[in-house]
Parts: sequence; structure tokens; C-alpha cells
Amino acid sequence: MLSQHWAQCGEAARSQEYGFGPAITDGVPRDLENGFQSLWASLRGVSNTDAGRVNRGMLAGAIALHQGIDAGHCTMDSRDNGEPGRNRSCRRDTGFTGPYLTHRQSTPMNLPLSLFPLGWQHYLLGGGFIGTGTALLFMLTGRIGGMSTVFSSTWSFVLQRPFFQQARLTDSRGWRLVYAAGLILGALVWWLGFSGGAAQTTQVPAWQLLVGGFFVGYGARLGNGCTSGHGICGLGSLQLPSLMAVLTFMATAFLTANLAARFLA
Amino acid sequence: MSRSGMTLSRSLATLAAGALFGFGLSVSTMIQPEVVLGFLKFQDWGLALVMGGGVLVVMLAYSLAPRLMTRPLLGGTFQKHPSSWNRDTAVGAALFGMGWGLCGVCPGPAIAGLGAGNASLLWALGGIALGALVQGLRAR
Repeated sequence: MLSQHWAQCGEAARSQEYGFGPAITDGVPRDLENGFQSLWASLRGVSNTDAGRVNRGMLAGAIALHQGIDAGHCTMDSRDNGEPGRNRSCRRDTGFTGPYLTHRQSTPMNLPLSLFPLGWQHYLLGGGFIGTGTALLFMLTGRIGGMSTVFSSTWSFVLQRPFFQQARLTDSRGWRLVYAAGLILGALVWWLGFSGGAAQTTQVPAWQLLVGGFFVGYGARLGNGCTSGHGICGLGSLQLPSLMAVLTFMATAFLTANLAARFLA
Repeated sequence: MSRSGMTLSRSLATLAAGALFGFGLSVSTMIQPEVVLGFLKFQDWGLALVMGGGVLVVMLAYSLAPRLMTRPLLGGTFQKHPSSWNRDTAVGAALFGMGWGLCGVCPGPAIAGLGAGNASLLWALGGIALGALVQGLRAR
């Protein structure tokens, strides 16, 4: 029965929420302990007893990498209740697959770790790769690897208006496209070599992607930077304006995402 | 090295750097809009780790490289990230955030996600390109 739950959980997580690859399939559910995730559960308004659990233990970054996505175990805590339908971790209405991380050894450590219900290693590892790419670009070529300028500079190939023919766009349009091609290549390598092979999908509706994308493009170009331009490069060069920009877009993004979750769901 | 050889090696370096970036975005699941939206809804703080980790490495490189080397290893000059705080930056960042909060996709993941087979992101990519176009047409 447990394995059945497991399959359901994995399927639900995969199809409904995160587009996860297969859950880690060593066939053995990690312990079904009653770890208490008080902070997380209270934040989520989920009572401890009906919260489904994910016990992923402490996986090495390499395993996370190999699994592609550190999906972890979606397990049913059968000691709490035996109804598969009540497993909150697989229900969509929580707005989150709700894998409540239970770190096996340490109760005190549950508090900080539950900020990262899917684990934290792959985030840090990925951030390291992102930083290394940007750093290498700088050390080898001197270029600043923000990502949004390519969306303006590429238009300069076809549009003759003075704005698009600025030297800062035409001079960089070549390497920016190469950089963007590299981005696709890197993701392709991950997809084919590390992800388990399933193509990524998203449940975000097309209109939301299009309209949201429009504002992302317009805003990033008007504000001269995005999450990588202001976020990674700007903060990396200790620029105060970039910090203000990051704080500004984080604030409006928090607001919009929560309003959207409330009214569009 | 000849001039064309230098250009080629600089291009290859740019491609490789982009690939590392795209690989990192994939490993950290930032190419999944749901994960980004999860951060923006305070459900998973992973994005802060991704950004923090990235910034830390970049900070080292940006501060040390110009001190240790007179110029980049493959030629050229060390550039600077231009940023100033003015009305455009403020309004632009605010609009960017609104769009980002609506779709969970920013420019990097919109491009990288395609490499992981997520064709839906073409919608976001089209939206971003359109937004950048309109911004350029409206600018003087």
C-alpha cells in the first residue's frame, strides 16, 4: 500500500506541480518518522497530522545532480492516517506539493531546513554553477553576463531605429546571442544527461507566460537589468542601484505572485 | 594568437560560460516557473540560495580579476555593469517584478528552459521579446 501511495505521490508531484522527474527510486521509503515541522506547518496552515511527508534524508549534491531534480521521497505517513486522498503533500490545493522536509537526526535543525522543503543542496550547487559561468565570462573575456540585453540587442539586426542601433547594442549583439545559445546548450546537457529524460513542462497558463513575459521584457529593459543583470552581476559588483532594483522587483514580484495565487487559481 | 583565433576562442569561452549558466539554472530548478513562484509565495526559499551562491562567486571574480590581471585572459577589457538609480530603473524594476510574479519566468530561464524541452516557455520568450521591442520603440 505504501508503494502505491508513493507512486501516486510521485505522479501527482510530477504531473501537477513541479514537473518532477521520477522520485528517487531505491524502493525503500525513508523512515516514516513523526518529525515535527512546526514552523513550516504553521506557515502553511497545515496541521501536523495530515501533512504528508517527504523524507529525503541528507542527499549528497552529486545525487541531487544525478537525479536532475532533487525531488526527494514523497511518502505517506501511514502512522498518521491511512487515506491516500488525505495526503496533503500530493494535493494541489495547497498550492504546493508540500513536501515537508524531515531531517532524520536533528529536531532543532528542522526549523531552518524546513525553509527548503525540497532540500537546499541543489540550489546552492546550481547557484555555484551560475556564478562560475558569469565569473569565467568575465575573467576570460571581460564581459558582464547579464541576460536581458540580448532581447534588445537582437532586434538591432532587423530594426534601424536609432535606439536599436546604439553602439552598446550593436557591438554586443553577436556575443550575447552566443551566450544565449550556451544557455540552451547547458540546459540541454542537463536534460539529456542528468534529468532522467522527461521534458520539462509547466502548469502556468500560456496567457500568464505571455503577459508576464511582456512585463518582464519591458521592465527589464527599461530598468536596465533583470535577475541576472541586477541580481547576479549588479550585486556581484556591489552596486547600490542594483540592490535597490533587486529590492524593488522582489517586492512587486512577491505582491503579484501572492495576489495571482489568490485570485487566479 | 591571430586575431581571428582570438575571436573564435572568445566566442567559445562565451558559449561555455553560457552553458555553465544554463546548467546551473537547470540544476537549481530555476527553469521551472513553479519553483520560482514557490519562492515568491514564501513556500521555498531556494531562490535566495541560488542567487546568494551565484553572487558570492561573481563577487570574488569581479573584485579579484581586475587586480590580479591587467586584462582578461582572452583579450578585451574588463567591463563594468552600468547601473544608476533613476526613475527608469525604479519603474522598470517594479514592472519587471510584476511580470515575474505573474509568470515565474525571467530572461535567463526563458532561454535555458527551452534547452530542457519546455516548449511552453516560448510564450514567455515571445512576451519578453515583445516587451523589449515595445520598450525600444517607446524610448527616445
